[in-house]
Amino acid sequence: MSPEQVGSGVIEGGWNYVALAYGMSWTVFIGYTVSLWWRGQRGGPS
Amino acid sequence: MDLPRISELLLTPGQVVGTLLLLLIVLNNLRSGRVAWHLPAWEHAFGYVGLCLLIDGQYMGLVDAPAERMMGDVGRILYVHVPSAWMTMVCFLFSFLFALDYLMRGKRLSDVLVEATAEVGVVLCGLLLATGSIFARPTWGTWWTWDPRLTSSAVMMLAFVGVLLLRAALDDPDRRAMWTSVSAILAATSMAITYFSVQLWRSIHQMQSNTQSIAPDMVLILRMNAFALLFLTIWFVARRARIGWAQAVAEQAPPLPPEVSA
Repeated sequence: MSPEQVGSGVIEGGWNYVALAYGMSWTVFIGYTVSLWWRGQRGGPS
Repeated sequence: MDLPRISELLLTPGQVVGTLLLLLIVLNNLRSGRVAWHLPAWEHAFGYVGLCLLIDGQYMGLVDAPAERMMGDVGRILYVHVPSAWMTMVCFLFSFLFALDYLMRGKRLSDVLVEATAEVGVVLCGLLLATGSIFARPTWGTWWTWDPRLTSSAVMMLAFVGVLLLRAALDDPDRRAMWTSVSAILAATSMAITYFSVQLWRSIHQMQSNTQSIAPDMVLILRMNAFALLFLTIWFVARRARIGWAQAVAEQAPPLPPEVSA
């Protein structure tokens, strides 16, 4: 799960963290877009 | 990642999604039989370009960007984390400016924009803290530490959450607008503390970067993601402001006569 730090100090692996961060950004953008759409439908703008 | 670089693709992922989106809009218009094409709200252009840029920017962040010298592939989180930090600051700065404008001129639109920028800023700050936490785990060995930069960022977000909560608790439109502006100006002081926290105190977080301290092939990808998020932020703020404006108009509408409301 966690990336290993080798003797040189360079972090190896860690793609799961990268995927989590990128996935989280899309979740936030899509979630907020849906929230705006829903609030707009309830009596917001045309 | 074992995928072709963006320059080797016939069409970039952003171009594919952008084209499909345009086709969907055209088909939807044809299907609904609309003859008179109405001009869509101006902000949709920003949303459209922002989405296409974000898809290509993130593809480049995952595929084209070199592994960072010390952080390796984990360094790719930078292309999500840093733009969200910049746009958080932009949103809160504009919230502060619109709050000043409301207090000076009393324009209802400024009040609506204080709310919109504060809300979008809080959303982006949440993303900033979440991606920062994910970034911290493999690089610092912990999900969270009470470091000056992290703590001040969390306080900044909570300060603007407080602005939105205070706003939600007040019914009178004028009092609500005034207290929103005053509290947004107070909350904005946390921006300066957050920005300078890495210089004022001993922090595990790195200092501010500039184009000289970042490799050129990383700068382009960082800029692309930053512009993508800037355009999406403009779209979010404009959409949120339209909702706020509609609510403000509804509040100012005269009450219905008794025979209608009964």
